[in-house]
Amino acid sequence: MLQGIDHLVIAVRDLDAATKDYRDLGFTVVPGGRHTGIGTYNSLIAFRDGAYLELIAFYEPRDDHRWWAPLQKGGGLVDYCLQTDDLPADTRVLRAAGIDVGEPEQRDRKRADGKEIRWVSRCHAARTAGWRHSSSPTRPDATSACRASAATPTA
Amino acid sequence: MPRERSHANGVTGVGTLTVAVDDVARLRRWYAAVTKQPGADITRPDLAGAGVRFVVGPHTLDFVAPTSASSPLLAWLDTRGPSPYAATFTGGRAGALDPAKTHGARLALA
Repeated sequence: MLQGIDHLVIAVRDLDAATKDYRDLGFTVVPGGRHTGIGTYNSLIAFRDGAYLELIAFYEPRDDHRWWAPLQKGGGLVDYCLQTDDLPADTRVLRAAGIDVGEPEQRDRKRADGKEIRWVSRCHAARTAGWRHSSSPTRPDATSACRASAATPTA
Repeated sequence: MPRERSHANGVTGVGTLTVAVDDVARLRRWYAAVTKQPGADITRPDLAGAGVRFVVGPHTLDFVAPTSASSPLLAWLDTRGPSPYAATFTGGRAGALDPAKTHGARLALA
């Protein structure tokens, strides 16, 4: 069952500048890390309700990444992630509802302190919607999460 | 997720995420299935749009399609396709955040 928003993704051209600007807006921004192999790095803003903002930028051009194109069109909000307490069950429900949820993809991020965080992504086959299952050592109570990006109808 | 969760601006969490869509019925079917809720019909005069609302935990998801030629969602859908359009936060002093400071994100404290 979905539990709420896990995080919102905000694509920016300059991560250092965005980190400063969001701090100027009164947010507590902490460094995230680098996503190995996909060209992105991030900063994070966490909230008491369990959700967080992800400020994300590219450290190298990656026109094969689904957030690259919207960043070229101005960036800003590009994606969101929803928490679930049972990703396999929700995946079955989504597939039954006509969403073509893809196979798991391994992802990881290395933090500035060297700690590596790993998770598994499931994306819409058309790359216009996706779902993610994550398990973070910094958040052991969050056993699973799913990401739903732009919910373009393709079914 | 970071342990630091307090903010000088008073924000405590995410309120409503507005997602621009071009097929409300399909989104309603998807999210009704996974949330076990029917969803509530909504109109969003501020966006010249209408759609469906789901409340998931502490958060609200509004899936909104344009209903007139004056809707800003038309241009958004044309350039970005169905995708998140705006978000509000809970806590703090109400008002929109400067889009130059948010790097293009439409964000407001509700």
